[in-house]
Amino acid sequence: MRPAAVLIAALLIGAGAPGAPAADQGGGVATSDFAGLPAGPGREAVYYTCRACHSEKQFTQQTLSREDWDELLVTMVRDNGMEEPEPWARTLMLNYLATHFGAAEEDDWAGLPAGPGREEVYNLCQACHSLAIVKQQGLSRKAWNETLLWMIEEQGMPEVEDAEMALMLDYLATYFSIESRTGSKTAAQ
Amino acid sequence: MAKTGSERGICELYQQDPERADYLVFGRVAHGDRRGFLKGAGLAAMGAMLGATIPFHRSMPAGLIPAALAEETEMALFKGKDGLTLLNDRPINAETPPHLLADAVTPNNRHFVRNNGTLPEMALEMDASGWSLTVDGLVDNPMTLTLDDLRSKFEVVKLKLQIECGGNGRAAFNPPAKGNQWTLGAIGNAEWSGVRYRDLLQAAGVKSDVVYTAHYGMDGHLSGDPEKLPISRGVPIDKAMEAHSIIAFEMNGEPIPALNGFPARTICPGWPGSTSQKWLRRIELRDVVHDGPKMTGASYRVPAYPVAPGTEVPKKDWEIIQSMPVKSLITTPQTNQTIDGRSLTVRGHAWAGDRSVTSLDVSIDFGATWQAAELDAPPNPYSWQEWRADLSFPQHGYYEVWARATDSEGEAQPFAINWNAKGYLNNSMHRIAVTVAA
Repeated sequence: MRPAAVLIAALLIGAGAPGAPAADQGGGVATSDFAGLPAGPGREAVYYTCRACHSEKQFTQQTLSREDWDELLVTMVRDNGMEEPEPWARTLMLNYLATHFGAAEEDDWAGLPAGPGREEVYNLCQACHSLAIVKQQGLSRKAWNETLLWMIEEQGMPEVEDAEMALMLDYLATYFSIESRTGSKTAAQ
Repeated sequence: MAKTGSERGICELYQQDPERADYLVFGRVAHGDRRGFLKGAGLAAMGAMLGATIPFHRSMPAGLIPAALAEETEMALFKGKDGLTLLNDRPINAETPPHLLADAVTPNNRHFVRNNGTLPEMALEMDASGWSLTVDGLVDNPMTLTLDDLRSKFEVVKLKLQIECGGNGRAAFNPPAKGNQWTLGAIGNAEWSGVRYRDLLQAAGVKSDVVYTAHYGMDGHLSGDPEKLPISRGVPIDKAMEAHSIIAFEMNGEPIPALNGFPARTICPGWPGSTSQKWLRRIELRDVVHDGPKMTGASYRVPAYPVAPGTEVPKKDWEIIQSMPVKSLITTPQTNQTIDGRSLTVRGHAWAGDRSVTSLDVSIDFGATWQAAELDAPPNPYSWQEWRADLSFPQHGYYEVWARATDSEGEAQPFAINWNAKGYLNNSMHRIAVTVAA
């Protein structure tokens, strides 16, 4: 079978959703270790498509941005006999490759600076609105606290554990503080 | 760009077997209660695909394709705007650099955008065939009107009206104020066609105990919760009955652009832009001050008395903003220009909320001396006014040109900001830099 056909077959028949694939569920089917590829959506698509022709080592060594992975898939189809994946499978593969073998971490966090709490802030805030509005602010920890409580009480943000709340507040008050906007501590109240 | 292409493939997959599609695409397994269950990498993948995470994913039905398309469309619409600065992309908030506001009548592609939620389907499709406006609450005859009804039953008026965001100028507050950090360009003065708000209300019959209007739009709450409104404001009945408050359905002779409120919006000119409710679907008359989202708390309110920067003000002391204050812009030349020669003509606009502008002065010496600019009368009340001044510079060097408008009550623009916690009403003078070459 051609690679894409293998992929489709594996996804629609072999993998037998929603019961498996076994590796995700801790079972013991023969194909279950997926050549050691990290678990995640898209693993099967990548495994069957790419390993149809070459070893996984061809790509597990890489660290590429999503755009570069995209370009590589184009090259594979154009020059190396890979069958054009279905659009949804292509997206899935790109998500997987960019997640597990991705460069440009800054892009993944919409420009949020690295620090404890970044992931929580990213996930909870970006769920509803762009991080552009977060990054424009320069607020005290107290004002951030009021903002998050307002988000929870009135704007449909899920409730968070106290520890997670503290982590987010520390993050926001560190990187989007009054000083970060005004460049001075004198204005801080 | 793979997203658009993936749309169809995923749709087909979901049509065949939604639950299997869920599992295959996102690793989502439906539980007995038919709710989807996403966690870890599956949730991240769905999020990555949408460019966003999903707050209510626990209650998202299995087999439901996330409606990601709308957001992409909003950004495509924004790309139709000319040179605007994007402050926020979800929801879209964008302002116009002053030099791009030089037209006496602001073109549609240069009018600022301040959105609070997601665009309604009707605006994305620009199809008003299913639209109607309900006028109800404390009225004698509740009405439901189509666009054709508005055009045929009421006099259609055409007015140039200034709309300014209450938070225009917020970026200059210190300590910083929460919200979009607007600089100068959350102001526009398009020519709007529509019917007088009061004609509509008089046809409905305003009961004697009405004090406030309530505006309801069709935009969606950012959380996706259909029970929530992103914003619902209103005005005192007197403002609604003012002859220049209108229900607009055309902007500069065209259907109102999707981002600016298609198919119809209230325009309560001279007041914070949020009183000009976009994607209007209902007007309710009330015997209390309207208490919809962004009417209460500190939204569109300022302290009842001047406060030191950073002061916390008790809730009872916040007052709803009514008229915006006197203000002006220098639109020509763009700031930071170097000129040859010693003379320069500067131009701009001035406006004053419910009032008119009676004089406009400019200074080239940091406010030490002033000269009067030539100021035009407004083409109609609530339009901004054109002004121009010929400047002569005594020698080469660095100058700032300042503009200061004075309104019909004698109030002039200040130099400094009257600080308030939410960053409203910054009407301090606009200054541009001009270097005169040696």
